[in-house]
Amino acid sequence: MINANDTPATAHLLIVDDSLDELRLLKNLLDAHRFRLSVAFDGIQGYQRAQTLRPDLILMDVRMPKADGFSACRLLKADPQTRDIPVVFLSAATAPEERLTGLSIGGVDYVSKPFLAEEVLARVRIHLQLAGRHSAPQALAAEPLDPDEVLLQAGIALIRHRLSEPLTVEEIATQLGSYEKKLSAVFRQRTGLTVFGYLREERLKTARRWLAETDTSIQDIADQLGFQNAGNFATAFRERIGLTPTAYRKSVRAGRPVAEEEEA
Amino acid sequence: MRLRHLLWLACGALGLLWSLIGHAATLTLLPEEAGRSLQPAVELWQDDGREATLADALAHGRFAPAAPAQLTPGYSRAAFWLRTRLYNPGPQPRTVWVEIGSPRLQDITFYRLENGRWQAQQAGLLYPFARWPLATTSPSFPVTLAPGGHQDLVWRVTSRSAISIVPRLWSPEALRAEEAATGLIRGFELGSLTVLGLYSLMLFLSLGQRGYAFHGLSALTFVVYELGMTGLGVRYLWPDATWMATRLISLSINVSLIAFLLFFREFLETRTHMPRWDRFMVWLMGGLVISTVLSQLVDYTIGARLGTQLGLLITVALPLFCFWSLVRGPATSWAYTIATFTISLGNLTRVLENLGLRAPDRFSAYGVPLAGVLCTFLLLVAFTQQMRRVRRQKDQATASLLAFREKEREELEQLVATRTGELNVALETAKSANQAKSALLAHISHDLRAPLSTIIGYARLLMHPGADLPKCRRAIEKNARHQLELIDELIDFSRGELGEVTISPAPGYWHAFIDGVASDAQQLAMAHDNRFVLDSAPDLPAVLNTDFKRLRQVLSNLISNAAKFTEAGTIRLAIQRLDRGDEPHSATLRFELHDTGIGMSPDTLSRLFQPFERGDNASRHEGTGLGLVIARSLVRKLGGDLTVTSQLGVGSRFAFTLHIEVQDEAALFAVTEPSGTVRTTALQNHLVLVADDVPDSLALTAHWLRSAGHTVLEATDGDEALWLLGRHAVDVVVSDQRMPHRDGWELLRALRELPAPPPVLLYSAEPPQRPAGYPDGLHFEAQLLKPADPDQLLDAIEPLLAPRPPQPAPPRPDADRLAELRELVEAGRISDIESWARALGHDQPAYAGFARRIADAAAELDLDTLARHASPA
Repeated sequence: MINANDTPATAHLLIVDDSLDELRLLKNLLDAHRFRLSVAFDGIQGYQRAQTLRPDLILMDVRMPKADGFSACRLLKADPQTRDIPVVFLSAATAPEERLTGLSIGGVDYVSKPFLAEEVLARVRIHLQLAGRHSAPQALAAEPLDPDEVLLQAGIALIRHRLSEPLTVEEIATQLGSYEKKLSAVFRQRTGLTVFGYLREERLKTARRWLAETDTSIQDIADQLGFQNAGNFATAFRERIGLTPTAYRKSVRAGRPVAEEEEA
Repeated sequence: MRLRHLLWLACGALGLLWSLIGHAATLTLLPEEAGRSLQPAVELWQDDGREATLADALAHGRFAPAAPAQLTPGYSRAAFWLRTRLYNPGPQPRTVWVEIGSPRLQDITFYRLENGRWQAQQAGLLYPFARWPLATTSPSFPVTLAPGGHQDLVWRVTSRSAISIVPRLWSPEALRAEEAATGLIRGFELGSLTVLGLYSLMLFLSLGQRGYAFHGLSALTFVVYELGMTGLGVRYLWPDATWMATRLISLSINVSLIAFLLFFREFLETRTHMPRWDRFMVWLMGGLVISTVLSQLVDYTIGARLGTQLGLLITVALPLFCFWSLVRGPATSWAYTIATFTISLGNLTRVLENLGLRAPDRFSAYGVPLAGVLCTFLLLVAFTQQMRRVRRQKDQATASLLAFREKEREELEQLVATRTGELNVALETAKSANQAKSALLAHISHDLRAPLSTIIGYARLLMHPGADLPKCRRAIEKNARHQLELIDELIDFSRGELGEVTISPAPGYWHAFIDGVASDAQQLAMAHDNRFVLDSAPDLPAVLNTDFKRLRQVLSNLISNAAKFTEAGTIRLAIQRLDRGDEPHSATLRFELHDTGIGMSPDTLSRLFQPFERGDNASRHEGTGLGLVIARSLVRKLGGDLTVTSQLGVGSRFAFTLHIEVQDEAALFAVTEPSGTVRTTALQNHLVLVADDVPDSLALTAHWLRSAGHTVLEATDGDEALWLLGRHAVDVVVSDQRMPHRDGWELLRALRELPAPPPVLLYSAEPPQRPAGYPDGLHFEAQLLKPADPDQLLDAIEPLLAPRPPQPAPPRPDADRLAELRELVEAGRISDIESWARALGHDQPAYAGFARRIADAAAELDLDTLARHASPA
């Protein structure tokens, strides 16, 4: 009703940026091309508005107070309702690692400031088209998840993605726009494990898979999974599985799968 | 045989001669003789040549009654001839024993006239004991007297040992009894000494202290000496050792003395404590060695005499020495002193006797060994005491060494702990400095880039047709200025770091300055819904000489800092004058900036003035962390010190005090450049009266007003102004506050009495201060602080000339519509809001004004304003 006089194909963009000037600039640019715009001023607000508005694409600044663009993106990607909305990052910082981070956590593109209006428009259009191809199933979005579950899923994704790094719970929480206590509570409540315990479980699970399916050396596996050295890895592995890594690999290769000792 | 006959013959002849020549004094025997001295009845002839035979002695001997001293000549090479006659008055024949003297006499020949013949008998150390006529400890000879008979006796004594002739008369039973008693005493003495000596040697063997060995040696050799001296040795131990009996005495006493000295040296540690005494003792020992060598190998008499003399010296010196060392310090025991006194006392008699200075008696006979026993015992006690003390000292030393080591170890541990702590702190500091640096880099790269990217964006937008040019220009300018400030801040910081900031004080209007600061502060405070309060003392001077630019920088740094960390609170700038205005040319001002913000933890406070450090709770706020560093360095340059007190969650207070020079208003115009840009668009020509006593100020104000198209009357004080007011229909008055003759307030009061008074603008360097006695209702219509720019002045008088009615708020649509709008605003749906506004303007033209306002705010993304407009009330 409100967009009565606009073309029905008008795409709805959510712009998340803490700088009013930036927002105005983008608004000027995008207004001229008849996009339907909504705004948010920080990451958390951006994620919440994305949940209610279901925009077609999100333009997300990286550095923002409260939760930054990456945290918001992690939450968006962990929520089935918003998982498929393409996120394009905008940032004045140009460090390549930052771009990589943006892309690796589910951002579809990365535009550095100052940007060319044409470039922004072109990228927005490309990603709208790409998203449009498989936008059909989005209509059947799953049951809305509650925020804790989203936080848990985002946390699990983050942990799985960064098994090799020595993460602290606080770091994980910060990167999800949350805080340590909250994150720990959600993990304990929903997985029965502490954040750190979950991380260790994930590491050992991955280790079992690699031991079974690959020829990667024990040392390499330890390195890849963020253990300080092969000894620590072997100890942790034996405590959990009941066999040393080498013995486990032999046993699996010999066709005697080792039953997982389920913890109570 | 023939020889014997000849001898007999000779003796017979001598006897005859003896009877012819004369008789010695006669001693009548008492019924019981028990050691009666023969001395009163003895005659002595000293034969220095030792050549004389009995016949010579009898024939030529110049016998004379012997004085006691003559009988104890000490060391002498002479032969001593003595004679006496005994008479037995009793009816029975009597046998008595004549004891010659000390047992150490070497050679005694005893002649007894028997039946007209001289019978000779011999005894002394030179003869084997078995050949002595009587088996007594000291040489004795038997004499038998017929009842009523006389007996002449002559004996010759030579000895290399000290000669002591004490002839005594004994009944055989008495002498035996005496010997038995003496033997008991001697046995006790020498036995004790031997036991002590052996005990010392045992101690030496078990403890390894050399002192015990010397002590034991000294005691045992002393026993040998005593055995020699008392004759017990000859009698029981070495009856046939005639060759050594005498030498042994000297040898043993010398060895004993040397060992005694060595013992003293050992226990008194004279080598280290008393080197002079030590040297003296070494000399004594040397002397004793020489004496020993002489007595044993060369000449016994010389050697023995030397030994005895040295003995005397030692006897006298050692007690003194011991006493001295007792006085000097606690190194020795009292027992040493007593011991040495005892032995000295005992020994003195013996030595004196040996040297012939004293007659032998019981004291000299028993004193020495008794003293020896006592002394030896005491010495043992003393030495043991000493050893115990040494051991105790050693134990103490060991204990204190252990304690010291323990303490040292503890200290070392503590040091290690301290160093570790320091290291950790240093590491922590380095780490946090590093983190601060990376954070700064990140901030700078972001903060410097962010405005630039906005500027570029707007610059590009300018090229688009239909762009909102003024808006773009404003945005570009704002961002450029923002970045300029950032750069300035960085430059200031690096300058401050390098100490390059120079302070250039210039006179300026104080109140206008503070007003400007306050109005900037209002703007800053609004950003977070803060209230800014300026709490400035009224008695501040109007014109001060300081670096206003730097002071403004300090204050705005502090204020923006406060504004950044305070939300919906109060920021209060308090300025007080601390001096009482006694000095006309100087003022001491106290600046305090209070806020009710997030405050700082003590930890943050300690790092507050470190560059690039930001508070723990500051991460959500923008900034480089340089503001406070710059502010503090500027305050220092201005001559003050920036201090801060704060409480987490309650607020902070920054404060500093400056001494500032007070200046005249006239001084201002020497440095102020006339402002060139004056608005020439006054709406209407008005007649303005300007009253100011500073000619330059008056001229400048008048110039601005004229340039704006007004007509200006000038007055230099209130009187003149009143006079002019009486002649002209003035539209508005611009008056200074302080003027000679009639000041601004008097002018105002006088003016209010005129019919249709014109409005008055107070244009003064100070805020209005109504003097006492003026009615409360008396106000200037407007006021403006000096210095103002022309626009401000014109803006200030404009409302006085034509007050504009306020604009009414446009009508608002109904609640449903507003609720719709509210929902859109809450979701940030900007495009939809704009559509809503368009639709409203289109559908209900009555609300077009409201719709336009909404559209404007949406275009500006001013969601706060939108929310306000959409609020139900």
